[in-house]
Amino acid sequence: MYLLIPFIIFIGLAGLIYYYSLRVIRSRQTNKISKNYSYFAVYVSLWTLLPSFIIFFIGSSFSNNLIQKIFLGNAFSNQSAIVQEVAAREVLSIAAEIRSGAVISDHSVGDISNALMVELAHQYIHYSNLSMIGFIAFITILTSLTFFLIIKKIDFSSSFQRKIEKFVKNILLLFTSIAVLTTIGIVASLLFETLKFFREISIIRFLFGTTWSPETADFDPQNSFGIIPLLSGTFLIAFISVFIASGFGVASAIYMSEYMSKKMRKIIKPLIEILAGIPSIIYGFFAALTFAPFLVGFMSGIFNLSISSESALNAGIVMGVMIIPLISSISDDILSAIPNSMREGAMGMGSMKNEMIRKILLPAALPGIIGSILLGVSRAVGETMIVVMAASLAANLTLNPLEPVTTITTQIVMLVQGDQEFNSPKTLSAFALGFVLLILTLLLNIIAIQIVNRYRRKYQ
Amino acid sequence: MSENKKIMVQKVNAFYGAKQALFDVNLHVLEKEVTAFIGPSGCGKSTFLRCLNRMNDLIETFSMNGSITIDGVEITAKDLDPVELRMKVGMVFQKPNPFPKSIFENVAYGLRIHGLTSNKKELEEIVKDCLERVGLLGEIKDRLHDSAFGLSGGQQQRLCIARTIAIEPNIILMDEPCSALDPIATAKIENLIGELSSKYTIIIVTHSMQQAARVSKNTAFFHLGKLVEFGKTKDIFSNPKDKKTEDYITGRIG
Amino acid sequence: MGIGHIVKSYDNDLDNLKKLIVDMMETNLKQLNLLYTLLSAFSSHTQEEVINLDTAINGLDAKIIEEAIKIFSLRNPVAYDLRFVFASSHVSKNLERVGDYTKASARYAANVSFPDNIKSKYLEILHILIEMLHSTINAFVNMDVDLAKKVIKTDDKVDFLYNELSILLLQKIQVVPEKIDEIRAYILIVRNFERIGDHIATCCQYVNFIENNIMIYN
Repeated sequence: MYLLIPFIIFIGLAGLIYYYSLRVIRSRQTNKISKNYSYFAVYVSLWTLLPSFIIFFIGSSFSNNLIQKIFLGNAFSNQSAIVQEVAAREVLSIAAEIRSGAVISDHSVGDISNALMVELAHQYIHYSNLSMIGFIAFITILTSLTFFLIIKKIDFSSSFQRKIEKFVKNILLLFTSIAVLTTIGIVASLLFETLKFFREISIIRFLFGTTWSPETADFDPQNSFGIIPLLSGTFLIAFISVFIASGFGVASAIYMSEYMSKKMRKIIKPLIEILAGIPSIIYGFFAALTFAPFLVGFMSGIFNLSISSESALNAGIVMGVMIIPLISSISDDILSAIPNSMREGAMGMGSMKNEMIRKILLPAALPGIIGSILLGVSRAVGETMIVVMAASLAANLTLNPLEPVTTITTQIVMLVQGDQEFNSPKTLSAFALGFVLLILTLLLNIIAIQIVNRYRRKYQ
Repeated sequence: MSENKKIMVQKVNAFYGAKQALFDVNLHVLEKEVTAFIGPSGCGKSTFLRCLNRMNDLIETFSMNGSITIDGVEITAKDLDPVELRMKVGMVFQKPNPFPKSIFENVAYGLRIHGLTSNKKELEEIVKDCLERVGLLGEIKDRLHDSAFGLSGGQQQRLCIARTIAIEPNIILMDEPCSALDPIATAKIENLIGELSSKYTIIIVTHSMQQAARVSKNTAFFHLGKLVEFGKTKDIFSNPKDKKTEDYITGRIG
Repeated sequence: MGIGHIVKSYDNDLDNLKKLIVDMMETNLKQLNLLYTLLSAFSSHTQEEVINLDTAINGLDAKIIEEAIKIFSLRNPVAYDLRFVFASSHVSKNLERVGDYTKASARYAANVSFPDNIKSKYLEILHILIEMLHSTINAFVNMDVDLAKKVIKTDDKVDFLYNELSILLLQKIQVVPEKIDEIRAYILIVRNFERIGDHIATCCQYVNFIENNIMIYN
């Protein structure tokens, strides 16, 4: 609330400066095109207000801290440190109540009476208001000073459009670099924690160990963190899902891009893309609650096979259904990107439509389709919710799709669930798993994007 | 040359949805001669060309009526298989569109899908013969199994012609075959058209009136979906009968 | 042609060519008028003027050929335009011949002194030629085929007068063989007139060719 006043002042100042600089440049320049005037005014306003703005916000946060420290520190100097802290917090909340006009509740702390607290709060408000007024005065003076300095110094001959352009570019660069730096930060912290883990557990045993049992970590840490069963489980499920998704996905892509009428396609394609947006947790409980019992019944009824309700097949099939839209949508884009002249060429030779698709379109689109399938693999490897809900927790080293298996993502969820000590190998192993997952998906994505791009370039 | 009427066209109207693209076109194409279709953009000449091998079937909204016969066979009949028709009526397109395969496979494609030969040696002979006929064999002798995309635009277009003649059509339709090519490549294609005309009936759509004048024996001028004038090329270009034709070829209307 | 070309400069080129032809015809006309004056009353000054005009005509011819070649190479004329440019270069050649014959006639005129009865016949033919050329200019400017055909018909009259006059002159040679040199000059002049008439008629045939794509011969 009390930041509103300086904001209004800033906006007022900006307006004033803008119009005043417009007048200044109009009086000094007569031959320039008028478009440049407003750019000039914006430029001056930016440079005038920016320093004051920064100083104001850094300063006001500091000043509040300062007032709290000096004023409240002195008021309870005879009390113990804990009481001082609690009392100070109470005074601040009274001040907030006063400012908002609420009824002041009882805030007495220990032997400090409520009346004294209220009194202190009033004083605090008084001081902070004073400091705010001082600040505003200071900022106003500073702003006017910088404004006149800039107006005096500024080079009227330069192109202000270009300078504003540069300013905007730099602001955008700032936002971009924040995004990039965040990513780098995440990877770095992951790497840091992973290294911590590898200080305790041998990297060789982690990468090539065939037993994954974090619950035995307290007795035998070196032999409890073997990633192989997790990798095999992850890839088994990913393979099943991509096997299903690529078949259905590519087939539906061919139908959509080659057979469907344009009108239908306009309706169906967005629908499929919406399908890709369904939260995976919904697929997850579908897999766990609906599909798993069906699959168990189906397998035992038709093939007389006993199948675990947490089998790789179950999770894989449902995950496959989830990935179909991804593969079909990208494959459809790739098929549609093949120039029509190719189809006409083949049809003009007297090919049948299926010959044209099989012998011309698919070979041409193959690299792109493979790329889309690899993207599907990377999606499957990184997918969490479905496997958490539908896959097992037991790390079985098996390639039998009817057996329960677990995946890297499932294990990460298990490891960091609930309260954990952040330095035990058990928790740290989650970071190591995360790092492996990151590297895997990164590699798959790089390869897939490379392939897709190489294909796209070919026809351009 | 025999005055044998290869293609007879009677009262053809064509539509894209509700929009009429061709109005009452009547025309005949003589066997083993080059016939050129000229006219401003959107005049229906390409649409008409595509009626002749039913390529318009691929466009959902297209419909037509009237009669087109090739060697006396009605080709607009619903039960006629366009695949068989397109074997007899080959087509070369505006932009060279080789398949994303090797040069050899491009020419072999038609032979393979139509099962014209099963003998590997024979296949190779036919492919080489076709490339030779379009004057490409000498230029790419040792690159037969390289990608067709490595060829220049003119070479690609000649490859497309080779691919078309490989399945031995009677008629070759060319839809602005030189519009994407430089003058030298254009000259080579024009020369090739001249040579091919002794064996095939060729119909060429072109925007270049000089090209029509150079390569064709007969010329048809289309304007706003109507066939305005059809006759011997030398008459059309020296003394057209219709004022519209005259205005178009002398550069007075676009 | 009613409408102009899409490329305006093409129209300019064709107009320019037409203007050059008309210029040339007008120069020819001027030259013939001077020849008329010369035959009426000989003066060496007029004779020189007629001879000099031929140089101007030759220059125009060169210029027309150059323009025609330019249009052929840059514009690829077809149909009407093709016939016009083609015909223009031919008309130019014909007019150049007209200039040559006029010049030659002026040269011969120095060596002859016409008896009045013959002189009037010469002036009559020359007058017809001047009328013909005048009409040809109109026919060419307006692409008036009817007028052009009339000019072609008029040429028959020139031929008739030529025959009449040459028979008369040949008889004269038999009567006065000692005057053979002078009579030879008479004959050459009238033969030139007949040629000039032919060339003017040919120009008119080209007018018909431009419009109707056929040459008509007598």
